[in-house]
Amino acid sequence: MVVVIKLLAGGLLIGGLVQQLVVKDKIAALLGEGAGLRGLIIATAAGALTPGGPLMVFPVVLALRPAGVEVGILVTYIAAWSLLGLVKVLAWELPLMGVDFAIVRVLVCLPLPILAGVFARRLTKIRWLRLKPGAGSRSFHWLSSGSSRFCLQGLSINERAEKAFARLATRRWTRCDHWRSACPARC
Amino acid sequence: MAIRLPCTLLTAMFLVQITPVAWVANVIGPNSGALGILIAAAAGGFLPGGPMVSFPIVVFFQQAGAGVPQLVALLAGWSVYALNRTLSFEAPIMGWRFVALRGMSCLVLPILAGFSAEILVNLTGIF
Repeated sequence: MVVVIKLLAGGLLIGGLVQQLVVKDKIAALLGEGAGLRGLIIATAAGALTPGGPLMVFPVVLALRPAGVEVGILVTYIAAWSLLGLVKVLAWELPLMGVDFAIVRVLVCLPLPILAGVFARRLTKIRWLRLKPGAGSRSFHWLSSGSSRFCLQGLSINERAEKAFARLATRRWTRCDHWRSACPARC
Repeated sequence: MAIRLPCTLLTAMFLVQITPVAWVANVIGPNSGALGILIAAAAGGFLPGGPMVSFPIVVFFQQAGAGVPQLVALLAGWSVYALNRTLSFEAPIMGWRFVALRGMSCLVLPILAGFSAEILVNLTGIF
């Protein structure tokens, strides 16, 4: 449990740093809407080179989303990290399964993340699969942005928590007839 | 590396001893074809945990006589579906909508990997 908390804290920290460090315009131009095939290839390479487990990768993906990175690219990145992860291939697959098998497996899996990104772009045309801007689990979003504020801008995490709880408290008692994601007031 | 390699191989050898090997070879063996690939891809999704836990099981399947395309589908299914990772990390961090989108985008990938591996192996005759 302690190990998980340490890893999670590290992952969130990296996520927060990524959110602060990336230049929004450049990211949006390179990996935003209309990034095309080039964006998917960049995401595949980045995913294959990303070391570490899910506790590191998902906070980074969560941080890239509000920076304007398109959904197909995020899906490609996760697929490439899990299918082609260089560390996994070199440290486990090559010695345990044999060189021939590893080569065949990597060759076969090489185009698949790009395919996943193309599928994801198609699927976002379906209404209930379309992500809201800055989507993600609400509590985690708050946590990750909170941690970045905490370490970079000197804002205490308690202030963030108070604000978030106040928002939640008002939200709970607001009467609304809309389906949650369709509400124009985002209640 | 020096420690985990023998540990993994030892675990795989223990597994070979206690499981009906002939049955495994029959279900996802080299002659099991498309059905074997589908079963292996689905089974891959249920393999628990990271490489430390999963690779002994995959090595065991290899020693028990599973076919190469089926093993490729198994490993790809483990990487992509990863039920364990999805439930414990992806859903709480990214939200269920993203999980649904990613799951649907990646649904056919392990099966495609298995079939292309079969074509590749048949063409080149590596194994």
